[in-house]
Amino acid sequence: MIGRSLHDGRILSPDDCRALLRRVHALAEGGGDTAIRVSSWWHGELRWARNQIRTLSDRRDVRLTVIRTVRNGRDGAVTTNQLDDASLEAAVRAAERQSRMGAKIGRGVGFYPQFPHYEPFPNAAIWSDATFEAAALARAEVARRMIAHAEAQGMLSAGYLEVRAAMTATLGTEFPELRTGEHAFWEQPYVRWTQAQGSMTVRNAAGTGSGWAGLSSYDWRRIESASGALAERAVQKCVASQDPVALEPGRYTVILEPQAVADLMEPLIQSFNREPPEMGLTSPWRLAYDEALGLWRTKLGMKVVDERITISHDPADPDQGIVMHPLDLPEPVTWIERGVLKNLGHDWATEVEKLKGWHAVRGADAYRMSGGDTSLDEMIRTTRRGLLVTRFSNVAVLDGESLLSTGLTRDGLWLIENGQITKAVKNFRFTESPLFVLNHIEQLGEPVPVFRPTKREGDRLRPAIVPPVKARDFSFTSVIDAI
Amino acid sequence: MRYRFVLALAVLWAGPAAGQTLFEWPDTAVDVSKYTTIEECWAAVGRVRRRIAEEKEWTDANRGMWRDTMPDLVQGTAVEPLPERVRETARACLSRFADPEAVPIDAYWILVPLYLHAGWDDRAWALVERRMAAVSDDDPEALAAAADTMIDILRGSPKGGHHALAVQPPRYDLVDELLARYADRISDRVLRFRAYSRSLSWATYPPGDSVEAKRERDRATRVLALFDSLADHEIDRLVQQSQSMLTEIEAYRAQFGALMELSYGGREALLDSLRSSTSAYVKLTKQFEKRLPPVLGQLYAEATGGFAIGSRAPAIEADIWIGCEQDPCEPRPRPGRISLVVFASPGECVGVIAGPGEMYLDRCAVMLIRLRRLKQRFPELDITTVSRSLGFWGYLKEGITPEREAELTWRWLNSFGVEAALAMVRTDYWRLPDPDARRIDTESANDRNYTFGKGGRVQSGAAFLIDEDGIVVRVDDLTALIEVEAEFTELIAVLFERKGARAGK
Repeated sequence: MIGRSLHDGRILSPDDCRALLRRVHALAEGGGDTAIRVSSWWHGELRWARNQIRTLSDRRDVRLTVIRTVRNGRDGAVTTNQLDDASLEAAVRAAERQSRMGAKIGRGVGFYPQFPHYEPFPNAAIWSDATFEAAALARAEVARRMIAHAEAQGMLSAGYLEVRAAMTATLGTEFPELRTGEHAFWEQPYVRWTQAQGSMTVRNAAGTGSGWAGLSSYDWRRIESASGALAERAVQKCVASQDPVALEPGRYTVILEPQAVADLMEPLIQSFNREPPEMGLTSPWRLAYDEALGLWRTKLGMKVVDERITISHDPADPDQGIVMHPLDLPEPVTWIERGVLKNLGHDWATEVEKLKGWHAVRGADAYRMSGGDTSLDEMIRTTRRGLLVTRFSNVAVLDGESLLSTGLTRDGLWLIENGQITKAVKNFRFTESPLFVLNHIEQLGEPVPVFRPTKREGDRLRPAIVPPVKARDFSFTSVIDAI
Repeated sequence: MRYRFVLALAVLWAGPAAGQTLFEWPDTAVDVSKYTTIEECWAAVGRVRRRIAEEKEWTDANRGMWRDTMPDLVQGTAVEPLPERVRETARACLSRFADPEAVPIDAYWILVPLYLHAGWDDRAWALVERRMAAVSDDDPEALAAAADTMIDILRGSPKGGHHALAVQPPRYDLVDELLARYADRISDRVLRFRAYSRSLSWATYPPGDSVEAKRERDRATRVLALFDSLADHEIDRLVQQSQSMLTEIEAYRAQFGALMELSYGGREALLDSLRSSTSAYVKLTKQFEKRLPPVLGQLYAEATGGFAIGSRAPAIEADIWIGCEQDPCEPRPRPGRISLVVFASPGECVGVIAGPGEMYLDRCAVMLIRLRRLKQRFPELDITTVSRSLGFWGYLKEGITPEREAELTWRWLNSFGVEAALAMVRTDYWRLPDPDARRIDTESANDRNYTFGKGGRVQSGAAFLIDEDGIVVRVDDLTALIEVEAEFTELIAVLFERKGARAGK
C-alpha cells in the first residue's frame, strides 16, 4: 500500500501538494488573484535493441505554474520546476511583474452568484501500487525473459517497457466569496494515475520477417503476467511472416486483428466531437445547414455503421479507468449504439447553453467497441480468399468528411485461401475509411484490451478494448517494401 | 587554471538564491545608440510605442480610470500626437538616416512614417517626392501603386498593419498634397479613382466646419464626382479588378450621405426638427434616406433605425417584472414618459462563463455603463430592460428557473448601477429530437413586435428611444464602439426640452 512511499519524491503526494500550494499562495504580494497548476510525473523506462538492454532509467519532474493577476493587471504566468523557497518566490515575483505589464480591467466587477458545486469523480481503476513500485531491476527481469524468447529462436528483438505515475492539481484564490468548496468548478482536485506499457518487435536475422506484440494498462502486473505470451506472439508472427510474396493491390476481404482495428479506428475515435459539425466545420458527423432553423444539422440519431457496432465507455469499468475532471459527466457514455450515432463529446459550455445537462461529455479518450463471438480461427476458416492483418502504422486522414485514411500494414500480413493461411504477403499501403469498414463487416470477435500507449510523461490514460473484425472489400492501393 | 578554480568557488558561494537569474526581468530599455540599421530603428520605435500603451493601460487602471469614466471616444487615441518618448526614440535612432536623399529608396515605406514620428515632416515629404519621382508617368499601374502605398502610409494604415509604422495622427493634409501633385499624373481614370477613393478616412469624422471635416467632405465629393464620370466600361473594369469594389463605392456613398447629414447642417436640422415634433424629425430622416440611391438608403436606414422610427412602440410583454417604480409595471413604455427600451440579456451578452478569465468588463458592461450614465444625466428617463429566459445564467444551470434568471439578471444590472425596470419573458422553446437535443428558442412577442415586421430576434444591446407619445425616435446598438451615447444624449435632451416647453405652455 502506498503510504510514505509517495514521499520518496516520485510524484507529489496529496499532502505534499497541498503544502506546496499553500506555500506558493503565501508568497503572493500586492493583492489580486493567484492560481496554481501543479503536476508531477515519474517515468521508469527500459528499452532494448538487438536483444540487448540499451536504456534503463528512472526520471521524474515537477511543473508548477503560478498565474498571478494583480488588481486590474493581466494574467502573468510563470512555470518552474524548482521548489525551494527562493525559486518559488522568484517565480511569483516574475508572474506579478508580467501581470503589471498589461491590463484586464474590471475583473469580477458586478454581481455574480455563487459558483456551482461539482463533486470530484472517484476515478476508479487508474492507480496501481504495483506500477508505482515497479523497480528497475524488476522491469529488467521481465525484459530479459522476453528477449530470451527471441534469442531461443535465433531472432533479434527490440522493444520497450515503461511504467509511469503522474499527478495533477489546480487551485486558485479567485473570488473566495463565490466559492462553495475548496475548488472552484473549473479547477482540478488532486488526482494521480499510473500507466504501464510494453511493446516488442522481433525480426529474423535475414531481415525478411517481422512480428510484433504489445499491451498497455494502468497496472504493471498485467504487462508482467502477459510478457511471456507477448514475446511468444511476436516471435511466432516473425517466423510466420518470413519471405513474403508480393500480391496485386486491390480490394480484399480482411481479417483485422484487434490491434489493427484499433489503429484503423483512431481517426474515427478522435472525431467524436460535437462542436465542429455544429459549427459547420469538416467532420464526418456534419450533415447539412438547416436554413429554417439557421443551424448546422448533424448525423446524431442516424445509422452510420453496421448495427452490430456499439462504441462506448464506462469510467467505472476496471479496464477503462480514465482521469476525470469534476465537470465531466460521471456516467457511461455511448457514442455509437447499434450502429446509430447517439452522442458526441462536447465541452461544458455547450452543454450548459444548448443541451439538457450541466456536465461536459467526453469524447472517446477511452472506449470499448462491441464485438461478437466469432473466433479468429473461425474467421480464417470461413474465408475463401483474404488477408490477415496484424496492425497498421502511419495512419493519416486524407479527408475529414469521409475519414478516408491511408497507412501501412506492418509486422505480419498473410494470405488466406480456402480457409487456410497459405503464405506471408509483402506489406501494403491501404486507402480506406474506417466508416467504410464498419459498414462492410462480416464477422466480429471478442473485444480485448489493445496497445494504446501514452506518448509523453504525464499524459492521461486512454485504454481501448476492441474486437477483431472481418470485413469485405478493404482497399489496398500499393505494395511497399518495408517488412 | 587558478582563475578557473576561483570562478568555480565564486559560483558555489553564490548560493541558490543568487542562482535564480532565470527570473531576473530582462533589461527592456531601448539603447538606440547600438542600432545601425533602419529595421532596428523600426523595432525600437515599435517597442517604445507598445510599452507606452501598456503602461498607460496599467496606470489608468491603477487610478481606477475604467472605461465607464473615460470619454466615449474610441477613435480618440488614434488622432492624438505620438508621445514624446516615441518621437525622441525616432529622432535619436534616425540620426544615421537623416538625409532623405541618401537613404536607400527601397526603405521609404519604413522611413516616411519614422520621419513623421520624429517630427521631420519636411524630410518625410522629400522622401515621398523622391519615391514618386522614381516612377515613370508612362507606367500608370506603377504610379497608382506607389500613390496607393503612400496614401496608406500617410493616413496611418501601413500595409501589413505594422503598428510601429502607423502615422499618428493621420496626415490627411499630406494625403491631399500628394493627390494634388500626383493624381493627375495617373492617366488611367480607373486607377486614379482608386487612389482618390483610398484617401477617404473611413474613420469617425468630426462634424461641423472643422478643417478636417471640410477636407473629408472635399475628398468624398471628389471621389463621388470621379465615380459618376466613369464610363460603363470603366466601371466594368473596376468590378473585374475587385469583387468588392462596387460595394465599396456604395459604402462611399453611404459615407457621403452621413456626411451630408453631419456636415451640411443636417445634424442641427434633424435636432431642430425633433424640437418641433417627432413627425417632423421622422420626415426629415426619411428625406435623407430618399436622397440616397436605394441600396444606400437601406444602409442609412439600418444605421438610424429607419425600419422602426416613426412607428408606435409596442407594449413590452413580460412574465416577470422587477424593479418598477409603480405597481403594476405595465404598460411599458409608459404613456407620457420619455422612454428607453433596451434589450439586455446577460446570457446572450456574456454567454456561458467557463472560468475567471471571462469575468471582466467587456462590451456588455459598456452597454450597462452607458445606461447608467444616461439615467444619471436624465433621471426622468424611463428605462426598461427587456430580457428573456435562456435556461442558464453565467455558470449556473441546475435549478435555474425563469424567476431565478430574472432575479439574477436584476441583481447583475443593479451591480452596474443600472436603475431600470426589468421585463423577463419566459421563453418558449423546443428541442431537436434526441439525441441532438439542442434547445431552439422561439421568438418572443417582444422580438416580433420590436423588429417591426422584419422578423428574427432583437439583439442584446438594441436600444429604442421613444418619445412621450410612444413614437420610436431612434434605434441603435448600445454595445457598439461608436458614439451611440452622444447621439442618444443629444436626442434625449431635445425630447426633455420639448416636453418641458410643452408643459410650460
